[in-house]
Formats: sequence, C-alpha cells, structure tokens
Amino acid sequence: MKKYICLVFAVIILLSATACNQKGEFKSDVTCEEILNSILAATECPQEDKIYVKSKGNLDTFGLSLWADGLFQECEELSLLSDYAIFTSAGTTTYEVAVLRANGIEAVPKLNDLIERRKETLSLGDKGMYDPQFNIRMSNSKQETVGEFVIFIVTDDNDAALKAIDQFKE
Amino acid sequence: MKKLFDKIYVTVLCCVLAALSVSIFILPDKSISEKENRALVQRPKVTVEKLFSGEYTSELGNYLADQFPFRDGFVGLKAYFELAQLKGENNGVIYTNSALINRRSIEDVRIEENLKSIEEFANNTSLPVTVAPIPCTVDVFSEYLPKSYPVSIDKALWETIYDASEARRFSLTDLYDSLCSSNAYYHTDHHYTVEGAYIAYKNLGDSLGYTPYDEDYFTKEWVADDFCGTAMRTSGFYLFPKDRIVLYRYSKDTEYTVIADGKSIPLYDFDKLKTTDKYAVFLGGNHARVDITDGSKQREKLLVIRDSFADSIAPFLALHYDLTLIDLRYFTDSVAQLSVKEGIDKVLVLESIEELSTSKNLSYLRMK
Repeated sequence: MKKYICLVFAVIILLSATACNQKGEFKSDVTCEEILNSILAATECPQEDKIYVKSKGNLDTFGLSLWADGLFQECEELSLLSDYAIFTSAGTTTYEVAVLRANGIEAVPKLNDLIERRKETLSLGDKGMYDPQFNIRMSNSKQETVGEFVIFIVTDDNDAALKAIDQFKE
Repeated sequence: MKKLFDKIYVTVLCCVLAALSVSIFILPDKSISEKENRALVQRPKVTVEKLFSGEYTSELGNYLADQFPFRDGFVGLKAYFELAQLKGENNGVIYTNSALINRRSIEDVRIEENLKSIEEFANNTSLPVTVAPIPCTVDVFSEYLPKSYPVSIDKALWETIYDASEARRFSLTDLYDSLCSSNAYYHTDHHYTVEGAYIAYKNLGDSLGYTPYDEDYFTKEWVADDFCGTAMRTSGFYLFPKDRIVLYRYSKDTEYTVIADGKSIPLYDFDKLKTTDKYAVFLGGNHARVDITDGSKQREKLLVIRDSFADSIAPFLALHYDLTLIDLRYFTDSVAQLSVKEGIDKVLVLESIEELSTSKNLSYLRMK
C-alpha cells in the first residue's frame, strides 16, 4: 500500500515539474506597440525621442541597418519581422526599448543576434560621456525572449519593465 | 632574524590586504569618476536568481574594479611604472617632454563610405557643404614622437582623405598646415586651444564666405591654469604640467540664445571650470543638438556636423551665422529633413581626422 501511495505521489510531482517548465507566452493578438507603450509608461521614460512602429510603417531596411549596425545598407532581418516597435534615441535620452516579433519561431535566434549587434552599436560613440547613467543602464540591460517576441530594454527600472509585460502573457 | 622578518612581512601584507578589502565595503561608493569622466558601477543587488546565474559575481567584479580604494592613485602609479620600464606610453597615450599624445587609432578605416555619406547628404539637400578635417595631437606634435613611431601611416591617412575628396560634391578645407605649424593644442588633451580654434575659424572664412575678425577684436581671458585633459586622465600621468584655458571674449558673446537639447544654456559654462573636465566650459559639454542665435532672424543659418572640436570654434562662427550644431554620436534623426525644415543655408562638417576616418555615425547623414 505504501509503495502505491509513493508511486502516485511521484507521478504527481513529475507532472507538476513538467507544468512548471512551461514559459508564459504572449496572447496571440497583442502587438509590439502595446508592449512598448506599457514598458515606456512603467519606466517613466522621458518624452518620445524616436519611435518606429509597424502601424506607421516607418522603418525600412536602411533604417533597421542604421539602428542595428550604424551602417547604411540593406538589413535582411527586416523580412524576418512580422511586427516591431522600437523606441530609440534621437538625442534627448539614452533610453532604448525594442520589441520585435519574428515571423516564425525559427527566426528568433536571428533577431537575438540583431539585438546583440544593436548593443555593440550602442556601446560605440561615447554615449557614456553624453549621459553618465548610460553605461550603468547598458550594463543592466535586459534581453528577453517570449515565444516569437524578442524584447530589449535599456532603462533605469528594467524590473518594472519586465513586470509591465507580464500583463500580456497568457 | 629571517623568521622575524618573514613574520613581519606577512603580517603587514595581510593587514594591507584586509584593510583594502574591508574599506571597499565601508567607504561610501563613488557615483562618478571625475578623472575618467564616467559613471562608476554601483553595488549590485543580491538576488537568488542572479546568484545562481552567475550574473551577481560578474557584477560584483565590475563593482570592485570601479570602487577600489585610492583607484586614481593606483592608476597613476601604474602609469609611471610603465615609464620606468621605458615603455613610453600608457593606455594608448605617448609620454613626451612636450605633450601627452593620444596614439592614433585607425582600425576599421572607412573614409570612402563616410565621404560618400557626406556627398549623398549634399545631393539630397542641394546645400553647399564644406568638410574640414581637424588634425589631432599626433599630427601637431609629431616632431616630439619617439623615432620608432610610424609617422608615415598617419601622413598616409591625410593623403587618403585628400585623394578621396577630389571631384566630390563638397569642398574640402585643408587646415593641416595652419594648425600643425601653430602648435596651438593643449598638451594634456586631444583638442586645440582657443587660439587653435581661432586659426581654424580664420582659415574657414574663404570656404564659408565670411571675413574673419582680426585677433585684436577679441579680449583674451585666462580662466583656468589647472586643466587636466583627456590624455592625462586616460593615461594617469598626473604629474605632467597642466594646461591653461584662455578664452577669446567679445562683447556680444553673452547675448546669444543658446539651446542645447531643448534647454537654455550659456555659451560658456563657467561652473564646469570647477570640475575636472574643464573643456566642458565650452557649451557645457556634449549635446546631441545645440542652437545658437542672436535673435535677429536676419542671418544665414549654418549647420555644423561636428564632434567636440566644434565646441570652442562655435563662439567665432556665431559672429557670422545662426548655428545648429549636430553631434551624430547622439543625434540619430534625419539631418536632411532638419536642414529643409529649418531653412539651413550652408553646411560645415567639422570633425577630427580620426572621427572622419573611422566613425560609423556619418552614415546617419544618408537618412532622408
């Protein structure tokens, strides 16, 4: 009898551990723009500097290449984006938030590479001398992958940013 | 006797190490390094997640490196140890009897691409564009460099710029001879002095179409004699004689309206003379965009695509134009659209030869 009870408990524990392993996905109808706006509100981001959003269609391959690599050339990753919302600096702040949605789970690693290139581009240009807080923000920056979404956050309160995006999870 | 000496030696060493280790956590954390002009890493927060991911120990390492007691002193000590070993330089700064000279960093040279970006900007805006590369201290003080320094590589860079600029839709103003023969550069910093800025201003007159004021027009005002420039702060050669800052003042220079990133600032920020980075007396330091106007709205508008060399020349150019200074390290919006929207009449690209040769930021000029 004791053995059967132990076996039942072991199965329950095993099933519980399996359930714990699932990461929350975003709801299917959430947009990158909604996620971006919630992050900017939660982190009390300074007024708009420059925002690229799919609803305005204001990012082309050259714009994406300038953002990611600081080079004026075609950026093939644009074709991998089904949705995007990027808040970046036009000169009054060094905050940065990017919410990218891949057009398939297989494209997610390439978007993560894109963010890595953006980090490298951001670290050039002495932005730490423009804003002394920039180096600290960059060292605390967060990069999250949630399903098809890749999110990059450079703010003064990245924990608040991560909490803000929880509301969009299933 | 030897045993006693060993005991004393080990005891003293342990006490020093213990004192240094404890003092890191007792002494208040510094937020900014004035010597290095950057923010310092603060004490990281301990969380279970960070602890097990290894992120905490990594952050702790950065924190300890930045908050180490007497850090500036140890950096300086290391600099002079390097000299004692006849290395002649520290952290990329060459020590000479006349000046601390930043070694030229010319990896990833992209002169063609950058000049192409400037040309495309000129084509898109149909504005007259003047490009004025500024020599660096390694050009100006080349006669003091060690004989083993590869001077020919530096000279080749200038030849490349001259050749690549021929038959382009912009004009190149050559400031090399006038600035290099003047020696009007700081000895502990990479910038020219205000005298050097005046020489550049005088030589730009023909290209931009103004008659420069004579040097007699200005009143020289000595505002600092303890300026530790970037070369000194980077290298740690703190015993090198410090520089003087002399401003060229004139009656109108307090009457301009100066707006930097949306905020009103003075042309000269004299509070910065109380800090280590005294060069920030010019326009208060780094800004993405600075507008300088005299309020008359009757003058031509000059757009200056610049790096920090434009800070000290701005007061001279402001005598002739309403200025918009754009630093592409921080301003990443469309400069072409700005030029059209704000009725810019002329454009000056004023950057150091190194920035012009290696910077990726000039690509932003191609944004329409």
